[in-house]
Amino acid sequence: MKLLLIAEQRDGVLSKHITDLIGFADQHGKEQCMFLVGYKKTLPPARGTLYLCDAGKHGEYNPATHLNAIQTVVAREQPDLVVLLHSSYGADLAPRIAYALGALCITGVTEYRQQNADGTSCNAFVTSAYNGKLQRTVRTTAKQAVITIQPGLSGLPDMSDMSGTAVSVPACTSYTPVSAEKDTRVLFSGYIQPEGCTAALDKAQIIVCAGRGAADRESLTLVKALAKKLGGEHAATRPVIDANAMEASRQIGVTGQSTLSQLHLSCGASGALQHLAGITTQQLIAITTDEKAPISNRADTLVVADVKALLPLLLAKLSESKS
Amino acid sequence: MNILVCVKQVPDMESAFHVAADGSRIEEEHLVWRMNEYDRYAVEQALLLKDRLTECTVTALSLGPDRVVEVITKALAMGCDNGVHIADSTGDVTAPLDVAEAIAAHAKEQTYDLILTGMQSEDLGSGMVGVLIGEILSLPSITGVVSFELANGQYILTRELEQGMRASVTAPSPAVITCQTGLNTPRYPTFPNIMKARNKPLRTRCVTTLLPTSRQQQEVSYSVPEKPACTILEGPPEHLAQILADMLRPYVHAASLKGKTT
Repeated sequence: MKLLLIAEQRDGVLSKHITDLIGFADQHGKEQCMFLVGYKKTLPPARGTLYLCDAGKHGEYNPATHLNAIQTVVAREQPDLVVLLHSSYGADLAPRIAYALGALCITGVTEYRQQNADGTSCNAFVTSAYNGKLQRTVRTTAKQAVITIQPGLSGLPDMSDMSGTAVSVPACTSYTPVSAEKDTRVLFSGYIQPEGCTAALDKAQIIVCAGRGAADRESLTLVKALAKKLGGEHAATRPVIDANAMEASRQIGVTGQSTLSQLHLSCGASGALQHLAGITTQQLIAITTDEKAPISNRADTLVVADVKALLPLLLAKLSESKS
Repeated sequence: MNILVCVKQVPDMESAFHVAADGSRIEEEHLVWRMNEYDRYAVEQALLLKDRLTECTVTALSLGPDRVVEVITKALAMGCDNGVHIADSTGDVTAPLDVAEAIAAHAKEQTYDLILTGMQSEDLGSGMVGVLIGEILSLPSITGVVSFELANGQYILTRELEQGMRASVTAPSPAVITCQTGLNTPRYPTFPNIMKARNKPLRTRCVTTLLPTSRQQQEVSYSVPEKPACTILEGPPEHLAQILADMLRPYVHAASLKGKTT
């Protein structure tokens, strides 16, 4: 089994999830190679051949151009599996690659199985469906598939240098250049930096986070009061931010902030994958009315209650204890 | 300007989902259906253009069994001009490539200046259909758009990336654009528009005429994920508040100490 990994970078900064791709390939492939649209001064870690398409010349964002370069590499390497990250870059590119190759495309893969429970071989990709309440398994006999894997996928070998047993992959020192036919239809005119995160959520030890079930003014007041009481920061999920109920810099998730806290208290959030991806915490307590909500997959403690009914009582009790 | 907006009907995600005995699909009884959240932003974007332009027709399209007519009607009630139902009585056409091929086959016969879709569906979340429609029709496609402007016949867009980063992109017309939530504020249908929606033209096309053969190379099954251990607390709010207060008290104490020292 041969895997072609599509790495990614932005403005000369490599994605920290490139090691997820390598870990995935280590687990499932015999051979691996990597493709990156990037710069020769910042080469990614890789095993096997690294194909580099110059981002300065071909543009950091131009799906049709990048596709063209990838097709060249695929023709040369004939991979069984093309693996991208499930990111704004990878999820955009994967269906294009699959369509061009006539390959099957599966996005947001959380698990790949080459063996059934009875030991017989298979080709099965697991994704999350129905807001994380169900698992969807796609079995295929297709010769070639293009997939995106969830960044931070669990069950991968630890690639960091942090622990003694971990495998680290050194950055490449050489590469094979790839050029592409430039497509001029879509024009990329630069990045827009996020507005400064005044809340410094990434450094907060205690986070009280409001979800869709706590997006009304009354609930948000309670969430903020509780955060203050606990000496933490308040935050929210995407639907709350979309409703303009809290400033955008307080959004936790793939498209917002990533947090590393001691305590994460989730109020009325269902726990969509994109949101959970932004949470790393020692203790996750979730308050929700939906006991089956996907947040229960991650929570240490699930409190089945309505935020608006519970928080006033909780705040009162916490005030009592102070005196 | 001629706009096609693709909408999907999805079950309410708060529902309890049950897998059919053979695992191939979910039980549809007792489910409440509605318009895919992301697609509401696509419909609104089409209508914002229609509000501004003197000549603009917006067609709302959905693929699926008869129940999906409901979301087309919803789009018409929001203000779309006409509807197209690609009827799939079996409910089997769900693979992204199949759906995209059928929609593209319809779009090929018309001349749309813009095709809008949601960035992904809430139920399966593959995020592929919009991009594939673009690839099939050889149109540029731009995904995950959070701001949208039409100037001098060009689309001036912002794509959402990770960690609050965004990218500015310009695309020519015609194009396929997939909409991220937060792009705009989707309108609610007004009562007069709900009444009017019933008389707006709705064309029904059979999916087999648009998609003679499926290129599906996959077999799908559903299952309930194994859950890691999680303590579930239930009961009257008063009781729950007491348990939670006991758990959180050390943090309050630490916070008050910190407050005194600073």
